[in-house]
Amino acid sequence: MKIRIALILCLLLGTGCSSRGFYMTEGDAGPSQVIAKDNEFVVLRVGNDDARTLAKRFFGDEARYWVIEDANDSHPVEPGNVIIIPLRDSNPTGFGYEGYQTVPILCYHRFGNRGDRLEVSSEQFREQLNYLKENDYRVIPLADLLGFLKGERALPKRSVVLTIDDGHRSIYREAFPILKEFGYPATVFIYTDYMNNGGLKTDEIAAMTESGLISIQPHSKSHGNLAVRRHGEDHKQYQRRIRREVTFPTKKLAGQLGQKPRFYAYPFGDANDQVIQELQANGLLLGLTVQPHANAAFSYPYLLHRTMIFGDRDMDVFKSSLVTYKSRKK
Amino acid sequence: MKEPIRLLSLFVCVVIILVDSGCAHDKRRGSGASGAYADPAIWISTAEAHERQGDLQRALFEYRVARSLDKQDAAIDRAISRLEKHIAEKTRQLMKLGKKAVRQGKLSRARQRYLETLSLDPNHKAALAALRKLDERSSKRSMEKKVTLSQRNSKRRGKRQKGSAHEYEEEAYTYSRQAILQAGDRPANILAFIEELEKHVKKYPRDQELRRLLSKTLMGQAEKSYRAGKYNDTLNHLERAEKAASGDKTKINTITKTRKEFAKGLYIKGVRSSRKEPKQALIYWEQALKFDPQDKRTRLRIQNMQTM
Repeated sequence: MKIRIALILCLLLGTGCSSRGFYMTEGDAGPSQVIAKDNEFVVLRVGNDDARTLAKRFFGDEARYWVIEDANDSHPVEPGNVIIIPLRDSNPTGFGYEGYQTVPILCYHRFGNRGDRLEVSSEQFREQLNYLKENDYRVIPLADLLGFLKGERALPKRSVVLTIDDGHRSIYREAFPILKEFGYPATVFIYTDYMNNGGLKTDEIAAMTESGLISIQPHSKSHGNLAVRRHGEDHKQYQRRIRREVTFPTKKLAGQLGQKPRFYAYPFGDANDQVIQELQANGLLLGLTVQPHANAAFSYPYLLHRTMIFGDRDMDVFKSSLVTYKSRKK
Repeated sequence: MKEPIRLLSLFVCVVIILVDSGCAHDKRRGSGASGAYADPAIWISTAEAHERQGDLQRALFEYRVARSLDKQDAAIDRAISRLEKHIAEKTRQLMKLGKKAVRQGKLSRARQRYLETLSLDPNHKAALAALRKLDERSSKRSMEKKVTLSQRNSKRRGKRQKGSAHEYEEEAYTYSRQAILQAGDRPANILAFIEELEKHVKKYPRDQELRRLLSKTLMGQAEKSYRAGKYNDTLNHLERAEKAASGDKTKINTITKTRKEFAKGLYIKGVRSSRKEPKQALIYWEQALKFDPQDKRTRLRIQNMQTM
């Protein structure tokens, strides 16, 4: 009798062990198993992989993990699940039957607690970035918009771009540590007269660019309004000023950073045809305004919209600025 | 002899249970949505459903996944080829209609046709270029309006003090105004718009233009509330409009006039209901006095009603 009970216990114990040995569990799922593959799709049963390792294997770039996540959005990339991996970018413009993808570009200025409209506190900034993280928004570098705007490269769903204007030192002191904490990229637009002259210092700029998260781009030389002629300024003087305000900071930043700037944020968000032509003549590819709303793949690249983030607005206003999809029937 | 046989039969039973539980686990994995992804028939069936709904892009995508899973099925190839031709034909027609609409100056119709084209074929370069042209046009137009506002502001403010603190203050002021004056969704989010205006006016009390705008917007809200019979809200809006317009005699006179009109309207409502609903009449008159505390007729009516 004792032997019989011992045998039953052994067998029952064995059931648990054998279950682990024969079938996949999360801890030990074995290698992912390709079910089908051609030049368009891979269909596979997920093993010991996540979206990042699969992206590295199939795209050679783990940063493109979102392609796999977005293609299987109702179907998580988890051990045992069969998923599809699209090998071709079949929807580079983000268009669906009901509508199309839009990318909000948020525009910050300075960080602190002076209670100014343009100033966002560290706490607010952290709360906003945390909201992006918790709600599956993907913060992408501004440079990623280039392929999307050409209709050549898809962007992750719920993409958001962060930009910070002027080059206040509070960017380095307060915003940069928080951006690093979240691993979020941002573009800082600097007006070069302000550099080392009340604004960001050369070593601060270097530290931020070296992190790989911050891209420094021009925001004019003196921060004068480029679309409004000054009192008594004639046409030639105006043209000269526009040229100087675009060319000088572009060259200065190129010299300092060893990389030619590609984007430009208009001071006060104002531009006209002449200013746009000047950007084009300097090889700049995107011009950013402060006209609110998000950008679609067909947005005009020299008048991209940005939403201003004011320090005295609440989280609901912030949330409402994150429009990442628009119905085409509106 | 019996004992080993019993033990053997027990062992066989447990093995059967074990194997069965393993199979069940496998079945569970295969029959759910997860397993369905490996089944071309499921992809074909969802593709057909999307095609019926008109979502041809999604249908094509799903037929293509089915083809990746089953390269031998000629029916899938035929479905893909048929759908590709159908999409090409539809987008050709839509592009034609879009171009025609542009020629006729019907730009929002043209935009719709191009959007439809891209929803069928997200790689359609001509539709993307056409939409971009329309976007460039509308963005430039709204930029011109914005620059006009900046020019007006620049003339009004004149030459400002130099120095980073002053320049920064000027920038904050300018952006604050811009955000308000360019709010495209003003009618849809009127309360948020008023809130923004009040914040701005509180911060920059000398901005007369936006104070006038705030006062005007609050007056509009007051009228809306009055029509809806929300008299306390009406009063609240009028009081805020007065505060925004303080120092502007013309505006204050307009608001006072509106107060009197609302008071008169409530007085008449009271008169009309005084016979059948005297209590309601009293409420109307008391409300009327809040709008125009000096109105003698209303005071008299209330006194008469109370002495009755």
